[in-house]
Amino acid sequence: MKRRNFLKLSASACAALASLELQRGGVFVPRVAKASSNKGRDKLPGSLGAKEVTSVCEMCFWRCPIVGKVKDGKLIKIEGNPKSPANGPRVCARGNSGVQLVYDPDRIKYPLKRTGERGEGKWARISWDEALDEVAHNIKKVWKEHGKDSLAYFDHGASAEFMREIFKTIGTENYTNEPAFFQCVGPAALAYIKTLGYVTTGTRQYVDMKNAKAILLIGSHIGENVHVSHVREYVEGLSKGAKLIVADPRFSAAAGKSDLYLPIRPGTDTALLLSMMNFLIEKGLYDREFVERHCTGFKNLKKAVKNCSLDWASRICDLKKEDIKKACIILSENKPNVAIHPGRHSTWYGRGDTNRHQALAILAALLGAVGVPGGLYFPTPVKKGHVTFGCNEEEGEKPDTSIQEDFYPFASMFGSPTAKIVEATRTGKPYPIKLWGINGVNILQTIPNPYETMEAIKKLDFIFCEEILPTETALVSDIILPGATYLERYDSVYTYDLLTPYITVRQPVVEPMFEVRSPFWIARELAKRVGLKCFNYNEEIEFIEEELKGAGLSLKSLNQKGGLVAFKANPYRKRDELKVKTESGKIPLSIEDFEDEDLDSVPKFVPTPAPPKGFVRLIYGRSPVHTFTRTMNNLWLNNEMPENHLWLNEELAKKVKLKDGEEVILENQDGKRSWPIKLKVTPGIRPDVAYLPHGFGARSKALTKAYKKGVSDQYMITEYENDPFIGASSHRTSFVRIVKSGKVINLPELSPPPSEIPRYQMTGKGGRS
Amino acid sequence: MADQILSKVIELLANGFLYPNEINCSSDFFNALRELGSLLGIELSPSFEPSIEILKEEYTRLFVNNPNEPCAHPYSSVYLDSSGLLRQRGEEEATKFYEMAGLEYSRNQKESSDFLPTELFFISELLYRENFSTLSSFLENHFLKWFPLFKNRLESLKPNPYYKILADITEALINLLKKEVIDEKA
Repeated sequence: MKRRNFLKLSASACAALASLELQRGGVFVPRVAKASSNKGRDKLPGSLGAKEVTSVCEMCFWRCPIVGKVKDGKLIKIEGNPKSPANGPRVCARGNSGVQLVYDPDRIKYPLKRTGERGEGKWARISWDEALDEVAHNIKKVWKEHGKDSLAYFDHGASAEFMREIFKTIGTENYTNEPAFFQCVGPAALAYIKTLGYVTTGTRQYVDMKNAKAILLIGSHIGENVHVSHVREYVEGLSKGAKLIVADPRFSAAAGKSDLYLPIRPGTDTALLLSMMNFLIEKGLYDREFVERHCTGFKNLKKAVKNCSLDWASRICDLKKEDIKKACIILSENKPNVAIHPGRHSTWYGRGDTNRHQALAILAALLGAVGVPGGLYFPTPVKKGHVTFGCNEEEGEKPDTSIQEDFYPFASMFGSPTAKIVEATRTGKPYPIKLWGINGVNILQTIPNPYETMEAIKKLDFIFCEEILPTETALVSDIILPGATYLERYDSVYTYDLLTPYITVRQPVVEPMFEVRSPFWIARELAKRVGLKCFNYNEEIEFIEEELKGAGLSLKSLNQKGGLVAFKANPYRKRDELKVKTESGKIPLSIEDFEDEDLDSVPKFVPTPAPPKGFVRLIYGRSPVHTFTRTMNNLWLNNEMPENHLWLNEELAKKVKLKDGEEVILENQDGKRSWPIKLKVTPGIRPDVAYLPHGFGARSKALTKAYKKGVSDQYMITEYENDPFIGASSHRTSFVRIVKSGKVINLPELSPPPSEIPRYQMTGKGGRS
Repeated sequence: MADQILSKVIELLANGFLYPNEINCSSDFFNALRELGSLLGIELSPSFEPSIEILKEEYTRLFVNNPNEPCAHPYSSVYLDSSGLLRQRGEEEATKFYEMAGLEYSRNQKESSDFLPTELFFISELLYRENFSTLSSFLENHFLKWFPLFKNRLESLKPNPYYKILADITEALINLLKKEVIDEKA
């Protein structure tokens, strides 16, 4: 056939073709020769000659200042902002890989609407108008039918803050239940607020490892947990000769650099800390002058820890008494310049979590390691303009039984406990929750027992999310709003108040792809449709200018200065000037607020149940090239670490004839089984635990690079306990055994727990005791 | 005249690969496609007129986001660059060809310049302008390097007959063009 045969197309076909108003106009325009102002720089290879745009990373939430290199409107490379005193020109592997996030074909490109059953996987692309109208209609409907508190919002990160204003303005008490708080840093944050009067550990940790003479890490695995400036300071401290003590059931990257490694029995960290306090007090090795001048409640503390001998801790923690003593002496000899790292992710065992971090804060105080070089230090606030969006700032009236106030005495300082929201949605008690908005968090891979979370989702009238990638949570949403990546949007002004303070701004490095929109635009448009008076700025740049004005800057002047302005830090206090922001201005070693709520005012060791026979405890941690479950689909990062392996003790493995690299399945105490996973058999882990790097085992097939790679720890954590202070959920209270070739392998107990530690009781049928 | 008609035909196909709308889901559009198919020996049932709702769902599954398996992403970069990412080699190649023809991809477009309908619009434009040398090079050195891979992926997703036929007709026509502007020239 020849193309002239197309003349044979019938007259009617030709007429139809001619009559169809086919879309074409505007796709191409005549090319206009442009006078090149860049002298051929765009022809240089790689990122040479590229346009440079400064911004702020969000591959993790440490938020390093970056420079995006752009050619022909395309992002070529990301580097650290050389003006940044924190990271300089460096970014981590994840920071580099932001390029791959923008150009991932799996990303959500347009607003999507569920067309089949919830979770069935049938969607249709819809317009923004339709998507926002649908979300607004359902918000108004549920609000009217079930009341304001029947709306709940799960949020995380900068992208979620604008939409939070909508839920807050509606007046629901469930306007924020950040899994990042209630499944992560919550217990530690509370402990430090109550002890030192500020969030010593939250998004950031104010601990001066750079100038420390000794560093204590309890479970913190810096190096695997990578935040560039934090790691740099840690490495600098070590290079200057700081002694490193690491307590961890696993021989972590940090343990590999330690002077003293304490392979502690999981769940016994508080016992270790109490015995150390007791030893320091008994032997007079604490900073007596500091305690007398700056602390209260010493007598209570002394009394509470007096029976916590090194012998007792040695038996409970399965550590050598001499090693604990050695740790105490190292810390005492180097006081007050000792970095007692406050930790971050602290939702481990439920009951004792807040007290464990309170114990860490007290230990720092006993050593006088507060407000001094090498110790815990104070933030240096960086001045910027205060911006309000004109949304309702008032708290709504609380319901008869409040999820936020009536279950956990300190939860309302931070929001509504995530687990309680899930429970209320499942059971309708204390009141029904019928709509979830989700933003920036993959709740099915974040909250323990995702099977319960799915039960809750099935009971919702409506669920929507703002997402970048088609996560497990997106797949069960009724409407998905495609959010712009951090490289395609403005957010706001960022200040860094650690040892090297600065002010910078997140600004778009490239134009947004497809129909993705910035979180501010989405929130503003949605608020209008819900009928809320919210967001008195038209676009981000307006409030960014306001914020910068307060710092004596404008966006233009900031950009002229390289996108960042640094300030001098004021982290330390002279002893006679030290005053912490607690009620008394002193550091309470015994917290009355806790006592008032019938909670332990001084940390007490509360044992967490030991593994049932045949099982080991499942613990998890970070991978240096991944963030939560957010980066497993990233091409470069997936290439670096596509899947996780299960760490299992060598001696234990030998007893049951399991070999390194072998593929097995995990079964937990409730009979839940994992996907296949390879074993990493190593002497570098205790025999009563198994360890998984977190975030793998994606169950969303739409995450084509991450799907079914490795195992999700979250889907194996079905047993959890809520912390009595704030209702944060424990993540290290589930246990696993091995299934190989269909046969269940019970794991022998090589480190039996002492009598003080009860054993987890199985029901015999799976499920909870 | 033949090239003008063929240009219009390719434009029709490009429209077929756009998100379902009132034009590409109209009876006239289906009829034109049916007649075109019959000329190429590709049969489209006379009663075949899927609803716009069904096609929107199907288009989303095939080309936008598929919750169950990888999409047949309609972007040449996904197939031409080993990374499988958007806006890579495919886009660079396509852009160079547009420039070669004195054209520039409009900045107002939401899609990247290597979007399948855009590349088909370009072929249509070259036919309309009778710019066969650029057409020959574009087909040989770019389009035919990725379209068959895209089509294989599409077929593996067991698409609605509408998209199957659209891809079949596109393949047949492009091969016809290849034969005339590349092979016969050689």
